[in-house]
Amino acid sequence: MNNTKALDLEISLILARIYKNLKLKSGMSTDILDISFSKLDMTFYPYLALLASQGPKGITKKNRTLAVFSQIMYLSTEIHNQIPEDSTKNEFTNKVQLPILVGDLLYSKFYEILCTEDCFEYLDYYTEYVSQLNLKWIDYLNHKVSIEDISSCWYGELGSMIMELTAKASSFNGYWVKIIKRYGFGLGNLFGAYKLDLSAHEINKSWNTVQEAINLMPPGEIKDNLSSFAQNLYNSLFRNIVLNEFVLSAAADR
Amino acid sequence: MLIVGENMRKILDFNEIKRDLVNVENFLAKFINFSNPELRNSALHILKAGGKRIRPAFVLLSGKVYGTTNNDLIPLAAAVELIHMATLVHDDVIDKADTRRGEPTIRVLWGNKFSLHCGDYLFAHAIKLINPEKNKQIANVLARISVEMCQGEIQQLLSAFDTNQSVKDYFFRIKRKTALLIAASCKIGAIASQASLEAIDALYKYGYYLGMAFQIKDDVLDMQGDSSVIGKPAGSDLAQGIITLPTIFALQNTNQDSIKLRKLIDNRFPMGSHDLQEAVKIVNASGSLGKSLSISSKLITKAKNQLDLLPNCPTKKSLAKIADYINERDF
Repeated sequence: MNNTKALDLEISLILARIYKNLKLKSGMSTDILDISFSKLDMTFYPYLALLASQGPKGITKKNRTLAVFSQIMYLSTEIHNQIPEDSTKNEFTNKVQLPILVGDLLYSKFYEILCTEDCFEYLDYYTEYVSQLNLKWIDYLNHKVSIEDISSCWYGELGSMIMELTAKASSFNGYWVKIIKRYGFGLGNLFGAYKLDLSAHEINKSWNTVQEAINLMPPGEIKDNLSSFAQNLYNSLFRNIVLNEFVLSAAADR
Repeated sequence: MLIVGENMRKILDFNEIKRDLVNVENFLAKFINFSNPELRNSALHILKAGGKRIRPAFVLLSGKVYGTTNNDLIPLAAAVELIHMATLVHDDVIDKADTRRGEPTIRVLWGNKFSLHCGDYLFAHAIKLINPEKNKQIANVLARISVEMCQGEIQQLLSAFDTNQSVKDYFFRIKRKTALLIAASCKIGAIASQASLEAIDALYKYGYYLGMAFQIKDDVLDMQGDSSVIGKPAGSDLAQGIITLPTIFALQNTNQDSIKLRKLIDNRFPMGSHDLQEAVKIVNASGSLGKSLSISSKLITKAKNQLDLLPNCPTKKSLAKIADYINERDF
């Protein structure tokens, strides 16, 4: 796993499978939307799946499949979330009708892959996740929970679930699974803080969760890999915060 | 106890699953008694609005051919209806529908975003209800047709107001829009009752041909439309740009009327309801309704032929009667 090229190759193979599932009779389903997905959007959760696959069994077939259907499900939640309450007549098809249908299609695809790849043992986790997420959104619409709660349920719990399931499939022991799950929750929250533009306080809270999880890891290659991924992600997502911290610490040194 | 929809009673008055359908209705009412009040109220609102309950009826009937007990079939029949309910909640946002079966839609009462999350929540719960680890084959059937249904809906949207679409395009759409869920309902009942592969296939095909015929009949009725009978004005599909079989046939004619019809649709009915009525008139006068009904009748015959492969039982007769009913219905 310390070979970045090998990891990138795995990611590109997983992405190819994801894109194959996004195909429609008339082209790519995501191409008919006004929504565009960045490279980070497309690869964040698959990376988490691969990072948690450093146990004795390594990257299993199930881990790759988990990465594929988790990403497809994640995309469906992103697409559905972008549907506005109101829209003009001209934008109704692109902003409302197509996103609903494409989101539904991806959600059905996720379910289809789970069935055809015989991954039924994961179904309860994912249906529970989807149920909780939609409940949370409904509570949010009724002003009962905050956007931070949404972020935690949406991005944090997904990161936690993917890393827990892939770590188990890769035969990590119970101790490792627990820490990796916590690490996934923290990283997911960090990603959520970036996506939903949350406060510096929320970013720090998520970063602390990641750091705590890393501190609990036994020293070695796995810890180094996870630590370096987290640091790179933090640096690239929150460059301004990193720069501010650098300036502050330089000023303090002086 | 909830009342089974009026239309459904008309269809199923003559057969033996009336009580089972009430049980499905009651099962659903209990199942959607969610702890979240908004979700519970919205789901109950959809359920109480009624509906034909055709899909659960076919699960029950197919299972009955092979004598499966209701305890096994009712959650499966309820799951199929729940999937249908979830799609209706999303469909009402897509269609900007204000009412469904005379009641305000979820979108009107709770908004677009709520409808989206409510539909997704219901779909997730329908999957739980299937118990996929135990019913792998059934889960596979529903997963595959869910994907195809979405593809059909997307195709319908992308081909709105497209006057160049063919009969083949239309069949692609209605297969996914209507026929597959009815076919799957029949197949699920047969699988649950451990029918032979031949019988499972026969019931699937019965549902498929019946579903295709049902949709064609629906599209013809939409053109003939008496709003007091079918609940919507004539040409309401065409108003949304949905080109159905009668319109495709009318467009294929080589006369002044078909040229005028094409122009009206291509220009999105610039004079509003006046143009729409004009288009409906052309379709009605073109002979395309009879042509469509003839195809629907042939499909009904094909559906009934599949029943020859099933053992003789009262349920088989009911399935044949339903096919006849669909052929003859005028609402």
